[in-house]
Amino acid sequence: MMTRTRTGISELDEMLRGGFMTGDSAMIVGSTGTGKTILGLQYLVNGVTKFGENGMFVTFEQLPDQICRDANNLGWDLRKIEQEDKFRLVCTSPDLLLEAHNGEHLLDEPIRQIRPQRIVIDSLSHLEMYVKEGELRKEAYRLIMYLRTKGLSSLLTWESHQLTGPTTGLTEKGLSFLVDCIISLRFVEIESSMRKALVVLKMRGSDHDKRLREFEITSEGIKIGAPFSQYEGIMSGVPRKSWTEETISGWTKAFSGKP
Amino acid sequence: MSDLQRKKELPEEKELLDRLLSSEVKAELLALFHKSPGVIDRIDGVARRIGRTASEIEADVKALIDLGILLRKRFGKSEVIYFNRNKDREIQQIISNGLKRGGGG
Repeated sequence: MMTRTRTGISELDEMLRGGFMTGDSAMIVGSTGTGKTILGLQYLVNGVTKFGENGMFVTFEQLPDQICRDANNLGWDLRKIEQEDKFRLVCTSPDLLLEAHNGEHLLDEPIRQIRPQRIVIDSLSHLEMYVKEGELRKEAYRLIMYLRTKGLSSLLTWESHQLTGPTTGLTEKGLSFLVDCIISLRFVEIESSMRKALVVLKMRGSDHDKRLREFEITSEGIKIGAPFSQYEGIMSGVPRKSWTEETISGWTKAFSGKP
Repeated sequence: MSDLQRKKELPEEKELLDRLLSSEVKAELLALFHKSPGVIDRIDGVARRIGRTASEIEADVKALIDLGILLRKRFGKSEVIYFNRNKDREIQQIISNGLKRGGGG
């Protein structure tokens, strides 16, 4: 039986039937502001604090101290776990991740220092700017294979350009088959307000929950709620109330004239 | 430790502090790496993070490499710079000890 790497977000672990498969690569896809970075950080912080697994967060942002500040607002002290050598926040340029010299990779040294079991790359979309058209898939594959060879359970984020709607951009780039699991985070407009939905689109070699679940970013991180059972068409970005048995029964009663 | 020994050691610590903070760019680089010790980048990437150009920071980066606070390594076609946490802790300790002794004396 395959071992699982739990995210520590109980509802998500249930959806994944126990967590990601250990050593696999998963991708979180979503537009800006959906919570990809927070989900990645929560996965790593929970790894350290709940499961005793060290983690590394690789970011291409210019100022990573902002990540520490935002994490602090959610009650996660990244500086503390970094000082304890349980966590590393690596900040670099995307193209450097693709280079190697004499068999040595940029991440070899920080991996040697803290021996992480989990890694988050935020985000793979940045590589697009540095590789020739049509080579993204090959380079992403090389990076994923490197992480797998190191025995890391990896989470890669991917920014989709559309705020709502059916497209993730992953299939067009040919990336969806490279990863073992895909989680999509998306905005949905329901009754004139923007809500957030999470769905596991793919999980290689395992059953998973296929339902869309609502989630929120709270002061303690991501909290996943109930499925959007009364709506359909959520993936299209234009949800509508579904004709549930309850609704149909209500209409039947109304037209039959019976109380 | 005798007073004579204390007096003898203080100038070295002061010199170290002076070398660390002898320019605005060095201070900016130290602030960057203290806030973000995980930065591993080319000189132009490091420069961009403090709003400067590679040529503006080159000399100061070299000075910090000479002090051992920054390290340099070649990866493929690029040379990267990163923070030496151990050396930084060591230097901080030396300065802190010196200041305590100086303040107490």
